Amino acid sequence: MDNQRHYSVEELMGFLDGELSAKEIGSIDHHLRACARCSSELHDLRTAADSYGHLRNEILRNTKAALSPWRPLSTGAVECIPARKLGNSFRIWWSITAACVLMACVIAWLHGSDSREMGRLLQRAASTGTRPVGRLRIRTHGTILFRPAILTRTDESSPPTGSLPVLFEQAHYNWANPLSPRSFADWHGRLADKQDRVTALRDHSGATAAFQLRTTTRSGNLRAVALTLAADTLEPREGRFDFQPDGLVDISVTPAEETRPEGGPNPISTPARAPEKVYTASPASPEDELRVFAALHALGADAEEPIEVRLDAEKSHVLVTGIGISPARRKEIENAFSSMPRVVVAFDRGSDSGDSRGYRDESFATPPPVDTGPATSNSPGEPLFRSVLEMQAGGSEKLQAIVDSTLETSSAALARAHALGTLAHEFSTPTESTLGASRQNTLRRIRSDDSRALVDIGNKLAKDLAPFRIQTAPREIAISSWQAGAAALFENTRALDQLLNKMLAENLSKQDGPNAVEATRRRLSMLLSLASAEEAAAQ
Amino acid sequence: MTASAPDLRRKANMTEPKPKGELSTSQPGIEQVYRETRDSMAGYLVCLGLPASQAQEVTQEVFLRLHQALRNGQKIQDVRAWLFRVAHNLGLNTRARERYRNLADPDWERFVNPETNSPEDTALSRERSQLLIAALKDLSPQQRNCLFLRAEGLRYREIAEVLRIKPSTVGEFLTRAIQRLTEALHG
Repeated sequence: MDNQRHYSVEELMGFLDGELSAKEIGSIDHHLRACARCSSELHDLRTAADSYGHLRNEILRNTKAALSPWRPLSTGAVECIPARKLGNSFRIWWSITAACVLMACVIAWLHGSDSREMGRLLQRAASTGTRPVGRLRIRTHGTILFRPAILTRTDESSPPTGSLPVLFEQAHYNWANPLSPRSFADWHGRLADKQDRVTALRDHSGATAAFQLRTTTRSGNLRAVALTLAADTLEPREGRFDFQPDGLVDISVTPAEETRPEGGPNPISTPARAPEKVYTASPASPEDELRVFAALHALGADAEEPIEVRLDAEKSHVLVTGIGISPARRKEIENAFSSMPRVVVAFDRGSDSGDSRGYRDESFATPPPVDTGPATSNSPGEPLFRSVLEMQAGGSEKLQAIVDSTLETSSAALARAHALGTLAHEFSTPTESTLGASRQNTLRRIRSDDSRALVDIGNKLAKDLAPFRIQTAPREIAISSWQAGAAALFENTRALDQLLNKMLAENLSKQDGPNAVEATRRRLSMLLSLASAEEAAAQ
Repeated sequence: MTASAPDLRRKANMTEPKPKGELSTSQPGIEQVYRETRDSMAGYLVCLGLPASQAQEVTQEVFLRLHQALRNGQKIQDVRAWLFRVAHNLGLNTRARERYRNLADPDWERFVNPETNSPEDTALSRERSQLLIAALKDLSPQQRNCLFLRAEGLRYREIAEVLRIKPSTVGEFLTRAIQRLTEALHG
């Protein structure tokens, strides 16, 4: 910090709003890691901006309450236009109306087609006579319960399910067998106002694995139900019930053994068992966590986005939290996890507190200072190393282009190394050994992708830096474990990133420049060596 | 899992997707843009000092103008900036025409939310909001407008387009505005 100036409020504001260049953002991000003063100032700015955000939401809420119902553009807006406009605009509104009517016809036809498809699927499912077997896992308001798939009058083993039976009863939905296609069809048949949608859900190979039947309505307390049926057998797999205002109830079929305490007998056959033992929610396992990492990896969200994965305090759920994720992306990620047990996506949580960079776990939260070579030590009048770089690059514009590209690539390397480091932290050797073979393969695949990406990024950096005569010399190195290698790789990448910022974005003296170049060469060579070793270890 | 770009963090309060990019009459998107933007736009117009009913009327007129512009072959690169610019101008004109000059500031106090969990929370929340409102009233109109538009999810470049000022000036206005709010909140 001694050799760096503090950032101005304008710069911090630009940083907060993402209005700066990648280079500036990178520099400030690094600075903030070590500067309590600027971090505190940024925190104050964010707090004030958020406070206004709350007030703005209140204004919006208040305004919406005061407005008349909005007229669709197609039918009503003309009536609101002052009379002087009406003559000129009649044709326009007429054309909008016509277009909307046409669109409405297309939508109605599409909906009709969905309704027909839904009817056909429900009929087929009912005719196969398949019934949900095993037990149901019910999740609502963060609580997980298990119960038999079908309740009978004599079933005394049903768990305390609170107000759920009442909610289903109010909605005229069969609580005794909620995942049955017939129950869905009965409820569906009673609705006067409904919209249907059928979605084919595909597996990794692109084949249709399941059908999701979703019906929404504006009447009653049950506003939407999405029932998922296996594509081949049409057996029910899971259902999502959206009660207003009580919230979501997720129900899925689960193998009976998942509901048993370890070593315990099957609760179905032992109705006398104490409910609190029988219905204990199963804790989240490393496999659950890995599934989350794999899904994020598949979405490309494990390295470049501020998403955090951790176990909750009770270790019963894997929490996926994030900061500033766009609504569309949020939806995409939520959808990816919607059917995963023991996973809670909570983008709002954790966004207001803690380290905004996402480095939350202790091993990455406050990285110790690393040796990044010589300190900046130019004094007024001393010749700057930048002139040397400019000459080597072929002019100031070319140098600027190299600087921008290099620092951006370096940020990508840091993000990727952090993702791999997080994986290493979450899946230590003992934890990894508890995973099944297929899960270990998944883990290996993610590691392989990350390390290969790091090799590619390292090579790109080497190419970008070629004009400065930074010739890398990667060598074959042995790592004690992939976890140790990943931790070293993260440390090295972080040091390299700091070095690059120092060399390219600060005013190094001509005297210090060559040392920085040499340190960069060493760090970049090490990055390539470690990434290659990681890649080899993942084979 | 790392956060590399702070722009991902801004405007956490925004939940509605923002229309952006070029639009034409041939696309069935106007209705959707209208649905997604109308509340936000009405809220902005209320912040400018229009009563809710007037804000609603102006919002609908903005969309009429959008259709008209597209129909006349006007190329609109950034629909959101265009919409808010028209809304801003129409809002100010309406206020002047309807002699709402004396309502230059909305009745902010009525936005103070009384519905919080406990009496302590209520007191704290009210106090905080009142400090904020007092600071808002002290801002210059341009600083306030920048703040309002930022909260509607507009980038500096877009705010500059709406208010016909330079993006760097937007940055300065916003910095001062947020600084004033910070000072107010910290006493």
